[in-house]
Amino acid sequence: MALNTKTQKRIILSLSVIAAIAAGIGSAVYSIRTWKNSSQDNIGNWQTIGKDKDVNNADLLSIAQISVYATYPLTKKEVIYLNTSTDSDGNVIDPKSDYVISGKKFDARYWSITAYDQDGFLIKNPVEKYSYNFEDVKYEKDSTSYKINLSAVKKDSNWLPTAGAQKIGLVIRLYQPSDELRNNLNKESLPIIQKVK
Amino acid sequence: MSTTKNITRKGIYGVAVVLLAVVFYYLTIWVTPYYVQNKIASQRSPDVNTLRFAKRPSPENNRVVPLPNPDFLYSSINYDIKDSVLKITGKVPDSTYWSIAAYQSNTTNFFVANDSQADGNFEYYLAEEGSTSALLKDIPKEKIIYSPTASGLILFRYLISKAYPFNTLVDLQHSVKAEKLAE
Repeated sequence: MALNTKTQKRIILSLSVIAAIAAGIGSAVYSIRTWKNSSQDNIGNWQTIGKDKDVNNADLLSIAQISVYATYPLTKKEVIYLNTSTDSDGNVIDPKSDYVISGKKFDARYWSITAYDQDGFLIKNPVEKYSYNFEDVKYEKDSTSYKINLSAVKKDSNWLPTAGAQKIGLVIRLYQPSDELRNNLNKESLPIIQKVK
Repeated sequence: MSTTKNITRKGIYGVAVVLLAVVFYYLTIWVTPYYVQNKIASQRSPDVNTLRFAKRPSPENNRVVPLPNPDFLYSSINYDIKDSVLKITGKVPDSTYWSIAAYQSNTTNFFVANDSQADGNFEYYLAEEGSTSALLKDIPKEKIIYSPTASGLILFRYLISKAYPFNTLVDLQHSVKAEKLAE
């Protein structure tokens, strides 16, 4: 039985409304998942909140992304967060490859480098080691620089295990950084991540 | 004439459909943080205005809030201060990092104080922004935290450090009390 014109129009209108709602929600979810927003700055391969922005006054999209992927951060007054999922050549970190993270002590009250899996959680490993900080990283002879071995295979020193993860994300936390560090955070002051195997 | 009318009508429908998509785009982005806060609050502890003491984060015990810091002991309070004031007291470690932070119902941080701003003990009164509660009358301003929303989360961070015995840190973590004050 053929539908009359009025009914056809109503069906088309209803479908258009449903499609518009689905498109709106779908594109919002996609935008949140991309983890790209106008509040972030790149410093080499590391990302951090922009100079004139903060986690509590960023744009709506940034606040939504932070709430999903980095819930309950502190403002820049207290902590500077930097994150990356790529090495210093810009390639995505492969959990099955070996990397060396080379850096120097940060002038902050507390700093750490933590590895996370694809969901942003700690990576289960036999040595129960998930991060290195100012106290437990083994420094080089100069007592200032360090090399952290990001690898699925056991290393003798500063081993940050990655086995079992599908993707790797690294986060640097700088609690109460000095003004000098805060004002001069640049590529040279951040660790280099080099693939070695 | 009728054809022009039809084209105009279809154009208005088209614009309305695009506008509807844009409205739902922003609505979804706006509501997401509130949804996250509610989801986390209900998964971690259904009780409000009570302390939740977490163990040191590990892959097994921390699968709710992303990016846990394995160097911290966390405690939290899901608060609801509609028509009330929440008194929060406790001890502060003297030689390792400690902070109390408050997050409104869309998870954004609106208050933080650390160990350098406290002298051994802390005492805060959490009230809704604009509260005229008589309970706050004699409380020094620096002890009052005004929340932009009636509900949210208080989060304590204790840095696990070689300079501080772990068991003492756990004792300090458990020294915190939250008390809902009634007029």
